[in-house]
Amino acid sequence: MTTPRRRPKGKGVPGETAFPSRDPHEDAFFARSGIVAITALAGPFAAVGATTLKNSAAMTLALLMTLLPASLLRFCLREKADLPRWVEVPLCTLSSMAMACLGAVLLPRLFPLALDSLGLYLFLFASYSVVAAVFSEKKVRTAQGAAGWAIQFVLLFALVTGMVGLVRELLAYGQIWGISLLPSSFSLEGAKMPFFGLIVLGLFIGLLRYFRSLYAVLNRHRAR
Amino acid sequence: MKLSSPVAPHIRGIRNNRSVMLDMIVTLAAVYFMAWYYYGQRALLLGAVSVVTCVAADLVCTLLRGHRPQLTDLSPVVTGMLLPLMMPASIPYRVPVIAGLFAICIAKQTFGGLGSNIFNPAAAGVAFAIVCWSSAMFAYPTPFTPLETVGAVTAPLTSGPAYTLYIGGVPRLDVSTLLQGVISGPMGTTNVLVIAACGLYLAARRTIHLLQPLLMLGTVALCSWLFPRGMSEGLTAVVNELFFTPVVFFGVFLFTDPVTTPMRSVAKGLYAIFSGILCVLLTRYGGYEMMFPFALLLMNAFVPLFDLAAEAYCTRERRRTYEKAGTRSSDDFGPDDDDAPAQA
Repeated sequence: MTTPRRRPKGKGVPGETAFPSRDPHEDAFFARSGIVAITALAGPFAAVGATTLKNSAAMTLALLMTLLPASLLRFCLREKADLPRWVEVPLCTLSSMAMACLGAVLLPRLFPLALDSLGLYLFLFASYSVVAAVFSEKKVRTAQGAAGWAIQFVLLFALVTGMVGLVRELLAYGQIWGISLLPSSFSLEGAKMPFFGLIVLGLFIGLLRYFRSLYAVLNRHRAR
Repeated sequence: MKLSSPVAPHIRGIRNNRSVMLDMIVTLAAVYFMAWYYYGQRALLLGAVSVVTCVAADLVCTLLRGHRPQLTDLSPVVTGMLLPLMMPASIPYRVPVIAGLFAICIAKQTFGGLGSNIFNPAAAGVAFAIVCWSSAMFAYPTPFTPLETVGAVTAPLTSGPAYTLYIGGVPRLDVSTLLQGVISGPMGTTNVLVIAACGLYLAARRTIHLLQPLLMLGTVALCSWLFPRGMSEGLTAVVNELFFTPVVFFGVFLFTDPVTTPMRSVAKGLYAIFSGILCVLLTRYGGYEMMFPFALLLMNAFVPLFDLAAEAYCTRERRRTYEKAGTRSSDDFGPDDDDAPAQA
């Protein structure tokens, strides 16, 4: 009895029609870095926390403090230590919580007012980091790769929340980073509310999709 | 006898988007006339600024989306005319401008433009203005007070009878003032008789379904009679609710928007009743004295559910009818079967 032929990875069975062509968006630069996924995960923080640019910077720093150790720990647990996979979640959670507590002590020195408005959200970053680090599909083979992935994630998060915080601070307070740019009589109370953050996030996602499709079209023209 | 012409002879004229919008513009022009009569040129200038903003925003957004602008599309004109009518005549010019930009760019164009928007753009714009400038939105000049046409208004501003109702009081006004609409309030919503006449005109032109505003206002009236606000009771409570709040304006012009309301008559009726109940609940327990835009936006979100329920009901009824007639079995008909024979 002959064993059945193994289907080569990425290719269809001979005789079948070819796989449908890939979505051109997948070839665009931003697709590989998962920015769309990041913007989705950043939704609650952009909606509630990112009311000013300083708040966004504080959230980015908090995420860096929790995600980087969690990502390195995950790498060590998976690749170096001979421990069962289920141990990753509690250990990474402990690490993130510990770093969040450290952040609650260190961040007020840099952003005194931002931490008051963030409140509970600072500790939500701990769970956010666990989700991003442990359940990520990204395969890393080196410690530098793990650190690089975490830093890339944080930079993209900074981009998303920074954009939202900048727009909301400008419209709500007429300021950017505390510097007044618009007359004091101009202020939109609605920009301080969560629904406005979600609207700005949605517009930002739309803009990203537009640039991705533009990039894909340019790539295709160049390939020809 | 088989009719060869697809157009029934009793329907005069061709109903299309342009004719519907023209009818709305004609009625809103009548409301603007009353606003000019009470508040002077500032009322007209507010309307003009709002219309220009909405039309320009619609044009730019349509071009950005890669579509050809339709010059005969008058929907941004209607949105622009509606917005200032729900605001005080003393409102700064930037408020209807920003509200118009929000209405067109966020509430309408991001969802696909004309015919694809889920939420009523005018209601979204007014709701945004209420959230952002609540103190300016609920401070009204007294009718016939001279107002500056441009710049800030220096006339004294007061709260209206809607606020009195909101805090549990009873506005005391004579009948003639009531009927003429000479009360402090949004500049287009106080003259209830003119608005009611506009509603009848729109219904006669088949622009709106008359049953819709009647059911909605009837529900509000019934709930006000059963659960009056403040110290008023009985018919006084009903009169207070209908004449001192902008519910009639919303019922005639906004709740009847053909894009954001259900399609079938059954669903329209249910939608109107639920809208009335929600309006009553929000005016009693909401955070502002004018909660109708928020009620409308909430109801807009549930319109697909009303359509689904109505479609299922109509399919079931049609199936039952044909089963009784015995002409066909129930399996032959589905929700999209347009070739079904007429009822026996």
